[in-house]
Amino acid sequence: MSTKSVKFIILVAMAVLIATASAAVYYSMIMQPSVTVASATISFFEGNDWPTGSVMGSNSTWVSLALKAYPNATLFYDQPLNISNTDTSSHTFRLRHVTITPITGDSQVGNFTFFNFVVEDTAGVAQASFNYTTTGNDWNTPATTSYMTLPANTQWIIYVETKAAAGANEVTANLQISVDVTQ
Amino acid sequence: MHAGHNKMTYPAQIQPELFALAGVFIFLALSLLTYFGEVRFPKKLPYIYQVAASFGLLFLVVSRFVLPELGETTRLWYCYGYLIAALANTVGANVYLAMPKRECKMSRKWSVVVTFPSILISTYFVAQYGLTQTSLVPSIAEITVTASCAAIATCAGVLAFQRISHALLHRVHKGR
Repeated sequence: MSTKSVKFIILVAMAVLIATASAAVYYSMIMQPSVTVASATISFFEGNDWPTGSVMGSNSTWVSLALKAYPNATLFYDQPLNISNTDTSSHTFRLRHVTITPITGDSQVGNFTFFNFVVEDTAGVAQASFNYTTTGNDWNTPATTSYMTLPANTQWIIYVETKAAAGANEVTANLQISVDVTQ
Repeated sequence: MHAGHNKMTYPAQIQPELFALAGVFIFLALSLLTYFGEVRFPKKLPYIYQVAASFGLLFLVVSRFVLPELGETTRLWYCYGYLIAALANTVGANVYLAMPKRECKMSRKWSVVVTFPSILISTYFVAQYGLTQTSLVPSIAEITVTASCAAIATCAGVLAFQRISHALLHRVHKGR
C-alpha cells in the first residue's frame, strides 16, 4: 500500500470519527428531556354568577360547580365560570365528557331533562355547546367538542342551563367534564 | 371540570450547536476536497481543516458536557462564528483557486459544487433557527432573513460575475 493511500485512509477515518462524534453530541443535546414546573396557561376563574357551594381547585386547574335544576323550568347560570388564557400566545381547548352518575339505565336518570354547558367568547358568540340530555332512563352524553382557539390574555365564559323533568324527585347527578388544552 | 394540558408533539427544537455541526461537516468536506486537489492546494491544508473540524467537535462537547449552563445567546454566537469561519474558508479556497493560480474553470466548478450549496444550506439553517427563536432574541428573525437574502444575492452575483468574466476572456482569446 502506498504512502498516499495510507494518508488518505487516515484522513477519511478521522473525518468519519469527527463527523460521527459531532453528530452524536448534537443528537444527545436535542434529545435531552427537560421538565419545568410552570403555572397552567389555561385556568378557571369564578364568574359573576358563581354558584353557592362551588369549589375552585388549587392553582385554578379544576373546579367543582354546585348547580341546581328546577322541575319543569329552565334555570340559567349566566356566568358561573370563566375560562382564561393567561399566556401571551393563543391556545386551543375542547370539552370532553368523562363520567356521569347515576349511570345510564338507572331509574333516577329520568328525573333530569338536560344540562347544557355553552362556551361563549368575549363578544357573546357561542363557540360550543356541550349538552347532556335524557331519553327515558338513558343519558345522551355530548360528543367531544372541536378545539376552540382562546386568544392570548383573553377570558371566555362558560354558561350553564339546567332543567329537571316535571315532578322530578330530589336527586343529585355528578358529572365530570375534562377541558383538554393544547400547549 | 378539570383542565388537562395536552403536550402536542413538535419536532425537536433547533439548537445553536447545529451551526457548529454544520461547520464541522464543511471543514471535513474541505479537508477531503483539498486532499484530492493537492496539486492546487498546499499539502498541509487537509490536515489543518481536520484540526479545524476537531475544534468544532470541541465546541459541541463544551456546550453539552462542560458548560451546559451557558446562555443560549452565548452558545449561538460562538457556534455562529464557527460556521462563518467554515464558510469563509470555503470562499477563501474559491478565491485561492481563482486568483493566484488563475484556474478560473476549477474556481467556477468549486463555487457551484461547494461554495454555493454550503452557503445556501447554512443560510437555511440560520433562517430556520431565527424564525423559531423570536422570543429569545427579538431581532434575530429579521437579521437572518436579511442575511439570507444577502447571501443568496452574493452567491448569485459571484456566479454571474464569473460567467461574465469567463465570456469576456473567451472573447479576448478569440480576438487574438
